[in-house]
Amino acid sequence: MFRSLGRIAVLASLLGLAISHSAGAVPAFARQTGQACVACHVSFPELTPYGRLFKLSGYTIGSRLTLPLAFMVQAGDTGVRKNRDDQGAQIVPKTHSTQVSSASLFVAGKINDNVGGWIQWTYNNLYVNDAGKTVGHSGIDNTDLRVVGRQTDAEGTSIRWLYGLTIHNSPTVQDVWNSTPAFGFPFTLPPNMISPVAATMLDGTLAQQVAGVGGYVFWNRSLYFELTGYRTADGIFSPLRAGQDVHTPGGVHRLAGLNPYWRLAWNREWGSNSLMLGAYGLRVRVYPDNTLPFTPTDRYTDIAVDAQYQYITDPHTFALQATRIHERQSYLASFPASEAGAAIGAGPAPANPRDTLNTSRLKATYYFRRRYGVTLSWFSTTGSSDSGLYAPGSVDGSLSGKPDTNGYITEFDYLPVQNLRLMLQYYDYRKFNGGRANYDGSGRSAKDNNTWFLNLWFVY
Amino acid sequence: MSIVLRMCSVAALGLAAVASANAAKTAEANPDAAAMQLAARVCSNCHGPGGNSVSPLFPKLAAQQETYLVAQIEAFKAKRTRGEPEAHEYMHGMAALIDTATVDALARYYARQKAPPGQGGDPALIAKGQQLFQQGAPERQIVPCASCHGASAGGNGAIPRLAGQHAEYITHQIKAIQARLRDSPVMYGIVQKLEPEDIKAVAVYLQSL
Repeated sequence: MFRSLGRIAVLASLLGLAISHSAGAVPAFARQTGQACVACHVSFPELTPYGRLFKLSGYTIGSRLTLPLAFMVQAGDTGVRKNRDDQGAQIVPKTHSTQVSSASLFVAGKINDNVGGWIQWTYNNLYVNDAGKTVGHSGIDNTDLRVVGRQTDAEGTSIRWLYGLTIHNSPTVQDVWNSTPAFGFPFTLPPNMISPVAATMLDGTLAQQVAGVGGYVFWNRSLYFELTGYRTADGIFSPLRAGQDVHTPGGVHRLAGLNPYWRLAWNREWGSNSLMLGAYGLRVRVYPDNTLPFTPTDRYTDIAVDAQYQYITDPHTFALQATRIHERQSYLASFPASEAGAAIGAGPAPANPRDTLNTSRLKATYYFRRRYGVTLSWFSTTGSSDSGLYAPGSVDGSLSGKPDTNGYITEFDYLPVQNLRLMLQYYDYRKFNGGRANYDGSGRSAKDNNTWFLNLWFVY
Repeated sequence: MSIVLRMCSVAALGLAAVASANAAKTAEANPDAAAMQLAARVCSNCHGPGGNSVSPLFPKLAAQQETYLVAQIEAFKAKRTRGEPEAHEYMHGMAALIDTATVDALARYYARQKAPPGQGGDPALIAKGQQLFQQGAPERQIVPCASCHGASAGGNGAIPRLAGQHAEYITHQIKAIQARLRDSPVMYGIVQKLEPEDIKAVAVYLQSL
């Protein structure tokens, strides 16, 4: 790790010398407004109060660029405490070596005073294919296009109603508070890591697989309401899932029809403080096998609460985020099939007709001069015991038949210039897939999955 | 259902294009209307409704001197005299987007907004700040601030109004002038001898007005 630290530090200093200070998380926006990253970001991608208004205004503040492009690259080194399974095979590829993990191109900016957005295309240099080989792979990443309108107050001094339409490709990517999953902590992950067996539908499961068309209104900078419908991103919406493995059974989740998402938030700003208390939810019907879109469907209902507090001054910045997602899983299709002896294609084989899954996250960040940062985060997933969904299996399985996973993430950040971030993350698992010791039935402990990740994140 | 959504999207894009074209015509014909729209849609995001900002990172602009406002926006545009980091981070680029007629109209707009009410603080600190502001510190060759900024700190022409301003912002600016990040030769000569506790007292006093 220390050799990597040296290599990455040299790379960081070279990049630092080569770049100017005028760039941001999506630096095309910084060029559009002429403002620095810190105007909109605590540290990218976490938004300040002004950054939230910029996003809700459809990215339309500033002047339109002739070439609204930006790019991003990440390079780093990952290490896993015990990176061999019970057969001695390597689990996570390309560890303990400095690797360029991904590069993104952004087309981002305003079209006119009412229309704007951004499209991210990402090349993943460490994509693991079906054969378990690491290959290059590219596809669409987060995308959010907006049409907005505004109505000022009676005195004409501020916006009373800020409203708009958004078209995007991941639930909560359109949200402006960083307590929701898509732009929640951790903001970037190791390119490959050992992932827990279960995640809720709201928690990235549908990212870049769906098209969301929604309407929102933000009243008086205090109340926010949004209603969005999600459908599988096929037909005219298929560019929103470009690069996804839609033809392999189990490659993606395929939704039936239009599925509702709602969001309500109360926001208050005073002095250097801002506070948000909110709730959001999603109800989706999912085909058990994405290649068999004519079977009955399973139903997932997610209800979540979240909160965010920020204190932003110079030189001190504090930020707290919390969310809890509760998911009800109704296996209306998969359970009868499973009970009859065979799952529907590559679909789940639950042992129960209904299950629940809960995910909680807490995160606290401190930055000094927006340059030196430390973040502590706690995460927990708990859920029903279901031996059909969570069966024993080396590394990825669960001996207890439970999805329970919890632990801590610690992150240190250093931003020598605003668009260059050197970061060190440590994932400390206390429980993994339902157990601490021998959680998988093959003798593996939760702490064996502990992962460190040293990363250089550069945007221009 | 998705066809309806698609039609809505196309219609909204069309309406938005028309609205945008109309807005551009308004700006050319009437800079005061354009400035008012700019203040409400963009400036108010940080400087608050009518220039009454909430966060002390951003100065209150309501009832500020018109001449001073024009001079500062032009200084941001020129990227010379306002060299403090915050000016670069927030204002250099934004100001560059505003034409001269709109700058003048924006200054008129903020100058006629109602002044924000003062905010109380530590009485001892306020008394010390008042003493320094009104009478200076002759033994340290510090002239009274009131001699230029006015007895009620309302400013005059190119000299800014300070009454009711965020204490944190005033502190930040005096330190920026001391460090010569914000180039103001007259102010530098006056504030260079101010100690941190002097600055704090004056800032809290001004915030209370």
